[in-house]
Amino acid sequence: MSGPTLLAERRPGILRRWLARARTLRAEAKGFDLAWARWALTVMILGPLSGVFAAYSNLLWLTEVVNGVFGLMLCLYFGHILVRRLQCSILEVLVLVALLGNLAGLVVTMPGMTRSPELAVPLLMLMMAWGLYAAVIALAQARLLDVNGYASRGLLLLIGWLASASPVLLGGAGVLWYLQDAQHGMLVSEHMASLIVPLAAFGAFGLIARCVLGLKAVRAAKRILA
Amino acid sequence: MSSSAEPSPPPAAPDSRRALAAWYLRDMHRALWTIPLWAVLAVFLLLMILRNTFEDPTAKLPESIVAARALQPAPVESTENAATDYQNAFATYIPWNGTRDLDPTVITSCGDAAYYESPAVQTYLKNNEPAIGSLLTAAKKGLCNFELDYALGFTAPLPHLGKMRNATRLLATSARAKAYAGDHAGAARALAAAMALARHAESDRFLIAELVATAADSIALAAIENILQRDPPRTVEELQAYRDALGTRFSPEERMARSLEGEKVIGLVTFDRLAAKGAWTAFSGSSTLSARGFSLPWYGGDRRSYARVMDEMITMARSGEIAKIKDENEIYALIRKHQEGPLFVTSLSLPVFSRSYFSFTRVEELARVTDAGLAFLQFRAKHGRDAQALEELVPEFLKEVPRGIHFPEPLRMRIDPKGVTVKNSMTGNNEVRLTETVRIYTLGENGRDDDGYSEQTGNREIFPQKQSSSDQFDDANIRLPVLKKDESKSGEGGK
Repeated sequence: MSGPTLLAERRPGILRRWLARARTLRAEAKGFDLAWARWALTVMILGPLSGVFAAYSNLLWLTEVVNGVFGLMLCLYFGHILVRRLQCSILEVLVLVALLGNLAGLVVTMPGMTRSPELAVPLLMLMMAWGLYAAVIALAQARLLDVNGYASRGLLLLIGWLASASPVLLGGAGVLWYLQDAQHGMLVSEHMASLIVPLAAFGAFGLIARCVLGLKAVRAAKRILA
Repeated sequence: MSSSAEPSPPPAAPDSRRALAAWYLRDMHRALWTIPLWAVLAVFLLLMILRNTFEDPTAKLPESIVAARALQPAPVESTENAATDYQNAFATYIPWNGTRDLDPTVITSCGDAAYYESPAVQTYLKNNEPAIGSLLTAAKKGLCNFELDYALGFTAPLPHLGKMRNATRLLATSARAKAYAGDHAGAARALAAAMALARHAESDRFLIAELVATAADSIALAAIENILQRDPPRTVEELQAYRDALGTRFSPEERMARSLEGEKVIGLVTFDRLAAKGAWTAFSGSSTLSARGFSLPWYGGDRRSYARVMDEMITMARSGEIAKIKDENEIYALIRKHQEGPLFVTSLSLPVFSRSYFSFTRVEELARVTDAGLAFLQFRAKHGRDAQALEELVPEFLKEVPRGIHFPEPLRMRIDPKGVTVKNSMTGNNEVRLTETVRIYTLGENGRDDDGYSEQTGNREIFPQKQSSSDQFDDANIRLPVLKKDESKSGEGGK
């Protein structure tokens, strides 16, 4: 067999296959989301990340502005999908409003928070964005898995929020457990230490749900596209 | 045409579901967006955990400023204010410009006869006569107000405190030189001024001011001991002048309670300034608005814990129980009892505060042994012989045998045939200060009779071999020369 023939019969490389798949998916998903916002949002994550370096400079205000705009754009992006594409029901909207409203209320009613708008506003925008992001993922999974009942979708919505937050819950439990030792200073009070087990339990449950639902949804999506 | 029995392909999924599936599988962008969202979630989780400790510093700041200013000493007329004279003394002070190994402010308690005859020292003292005069004038005034603004909290500038400590050294050097020249009345006046300076330093309710007062007392007491070792007064009246110079002091518990009350109020106003204005603004004056928000998670819990622990320590000081906090474990147990959230300021500052009590106790015990030592020498001056026990001094020279504070037992006395040998910190050589010595002492914190030895006097005394390297000799003591045979029958007036 000749060399060129061998080459012609070899499978395309991994990069080529990935690029081909990406082109296919892009074509299928065309018009589903706000495509123009996707890259802008990805670039804007430098804003929150730069806060670590800007903390001791006079540019912290700029980081906070970028964080607020980033949060707002995320809200628009996921809100668009939620309302225009996933067409969530009135019950889901009520659950969403209840959660997001409570989150905002919990933050705004903390003493001193309203005197720090530069902290409160970006925080609220990003919290709303997280709420919408997790809701979109959960309802997308429900649609892909053909879950149609109101109660089932509502439950998936709640599990979706927990699943989305699970790495943070587990990380928080781990940090509290590590810092509760006196040799790390007095950073963890007894009340805080009592939260380690509940955080770890919810985080573990959320992580398992995240993995199970994520796998099932990916398989379902591939079946749909096959 | 034929009807086909082939299974038909499944109907194509509706376009929206295909679009959703494709969008779901394109998750690279979303994966990147989750990074800041997780960070925000972590911040939110922290806020929720600490939610019940949150307070508004901007609302607390006005009331804490009022409380801080209420603690300031009352205004004093300039003519009656000792601070005016102290400022004059600081302004007219001429520092030592010789070599450091002869600096009088460093070797006050070590100077021997030749030292005070040297032209350099005599010139130094002569140049500073105006400053010494101002200090003696200040000592006659009862009130002292340096007009500090307590609303600045821990950031209030206190430049006068370091100068006051140096002024004490100047007075101690002057006293030492006068004693060498035989002017014990002048020496006692200078030491009385040093003690008065310490009382004036206490008029400000900062703990650091109380510690400077303690240092001033220690310097004066060390100078008295040095005078009694090298150029002791011989008459009962001269010795009484030194006893009168000791004056009266607050008890260690009162000192502790006063300084804790001050530190509590000043600490709270510092907390509120830091949180309300942002750490950077509070210290540097720059306006980084965003600094405010970052203070909120720790501020409320740390502030409340600080206030509660300080309240309990003040109550313990006033009821005489503060000595129960002997080591770090106990202070941390007390802090944990009141901990409400992450602690930074409380966990760093309170262990330091709690150790201050032992400094106050130490200087009070030194004052008691010094007074007993002076009474011992008065007995010698009057009767021509040494008392065999401190009880012999009662009631002629002492109302009762003084007691220690760590262990309220009567002071002890022994003749030490080994004398006193010190390592000269300037030359590094050992020098024999006394060949035989009378040690009057009280048990230190370790509760053990260390035969009147102490490693805390700063004179670098050479000790007999210790049983173990972890032993710390800590008896508060005064070391006096033993009565020489040619003095034994001379009684009062001999020199």
